[in-house]
Amino acid sequence: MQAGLVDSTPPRPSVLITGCNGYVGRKLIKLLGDTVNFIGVDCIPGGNESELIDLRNATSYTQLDKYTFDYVLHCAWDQISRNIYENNMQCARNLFKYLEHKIPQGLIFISSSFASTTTGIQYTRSKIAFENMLFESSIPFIIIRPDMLYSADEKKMQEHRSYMNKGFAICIGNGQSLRSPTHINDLVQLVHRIITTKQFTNKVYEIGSPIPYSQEQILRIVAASIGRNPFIVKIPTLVAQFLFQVTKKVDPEQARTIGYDRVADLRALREDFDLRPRDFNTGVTQ
Amino acid sequence: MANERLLILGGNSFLGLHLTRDLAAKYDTTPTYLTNRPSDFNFVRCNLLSKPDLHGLGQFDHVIQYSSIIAGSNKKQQNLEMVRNAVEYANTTQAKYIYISSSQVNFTIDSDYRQSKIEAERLIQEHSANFVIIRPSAPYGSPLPFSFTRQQPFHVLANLVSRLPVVPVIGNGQYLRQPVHVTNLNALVEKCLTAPTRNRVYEIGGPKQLTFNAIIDIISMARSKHTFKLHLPKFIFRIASHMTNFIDAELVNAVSSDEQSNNETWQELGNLDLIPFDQGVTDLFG
Repeated sequence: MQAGLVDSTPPRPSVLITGCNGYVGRKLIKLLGDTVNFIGVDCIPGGNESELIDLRNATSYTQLDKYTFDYVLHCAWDQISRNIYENNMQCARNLFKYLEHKIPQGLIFISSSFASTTTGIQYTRSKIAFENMLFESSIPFIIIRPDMLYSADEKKMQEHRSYMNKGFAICIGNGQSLRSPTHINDLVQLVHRIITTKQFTNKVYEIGSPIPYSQEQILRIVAASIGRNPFIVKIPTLVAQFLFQVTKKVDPEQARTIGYDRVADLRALREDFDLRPRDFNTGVTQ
Repeated sequence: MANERLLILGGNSFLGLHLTRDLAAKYDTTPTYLTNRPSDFNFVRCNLLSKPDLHGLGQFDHVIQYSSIIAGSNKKQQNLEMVRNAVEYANTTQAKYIYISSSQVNFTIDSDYRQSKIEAERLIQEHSANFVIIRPSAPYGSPLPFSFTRQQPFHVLANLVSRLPVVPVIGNGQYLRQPVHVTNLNALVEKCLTAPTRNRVYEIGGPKQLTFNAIIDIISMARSKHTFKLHLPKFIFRIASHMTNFIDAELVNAVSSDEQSNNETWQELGNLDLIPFDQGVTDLFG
């Protein structure tokens, strides 16, 4: 900077991001890394971490003492273990205890559309419990509830496409339940807007495709995007629950919620952030 | 009155939607839904288990709660949590809290649902600053053009009577019910909104107790037909409860309790012309 001139560029906000090597964390760092200073933490190495920390271990938080951060972005979440609730609550208790001393200007919590629609499973209960702890913490916050995050390089999307290339697609249940898939870039855009406008409204925002689609329609749209017309294999929910149990790739409890519609209500998002997420039909080709 | 703000929690339930339709022109009404959103009346999503969801709704003069989990496991704990959150919210916002309980609190046979209502009432009486508890007895009314997540018992019964020559009855059908027309229930709710009285428990039923057998006879008469009643033991309905969410196993067990409402409880609010079931029955057919 030349002497006598004042740098008008606002300082880059500093954000502690948990779960930095997960799908959401990686994307946020990749797409916002030029405008935000991220301090990434994760319990699994992946290249984005500033510190390797198991958030369930209260003593490991001292590793963060050397950093200062303006905001916290909580993405880390156990989705598949047998102790989803207890693992996530242990993290939550430790995190809030630690933040009592750090006092961030805001916390963004990546919750889930499950918190809007299905209540009886560990995954949802843990998300809602975190939302309630955040509400009571007195930290300014935003809760985001995306449904079915996707992008071309997302694991499940790639898995579906590889099956489709072999001529079939897999659907759990009767395939008629509605979903509002969320393109990852829409979530990133929202997070960027919150951080840059510092607009912590202490509210919950749902995000997803403005037009909901049935699971079967979603498969057809994905197939059409790669020029395929696969045979759709419908697996009964009970069988799926058993398969989830064996493969340990998906929380078996989630199979019980297959029949519930998950339709995003986007009014708050439009009113407060003027954000219009893309339709799945468009997003799937991007 | 038009300036008074009314929050109807569970406005997409059968009773909640009837109230919403009745009061929308008179009050500034905001009804909430969880999974199934009616297209009219500007419904907003609210999961009562999530405090930020609830407090994000803003400020109201009256909060009326219909939301309740009737069937499935874990309902007692979840119902209590929802009531606890709603009471806390009403206290914080200094709103009058009206809780729609159930005549089942007076049943002699116990159930988780009954216990959840009893404990919810106790919680309200201990913690709410300004409340009214209403216990309707077997409420019924005209069908509405909306696909409810759970069918209304009286509509199912009326449908069976209309279509079949034989109707299955749990047990001997001699247990008593005191069906109250939803118009009367709504009128009582409205009186509670305008009356200065607080911290009361009101019971409301129809003008007369009727056996379940008599109820079937009245519905049959309204259809100008005779219906044969097939009395079946409870265990058959308990088995059926595993195949549909319409019947709950423990409600089958409790069904032989007699229902009796004390309509004296609300007389301090003025008179209501209670609609006899043989007059109101025609509304069941739309």
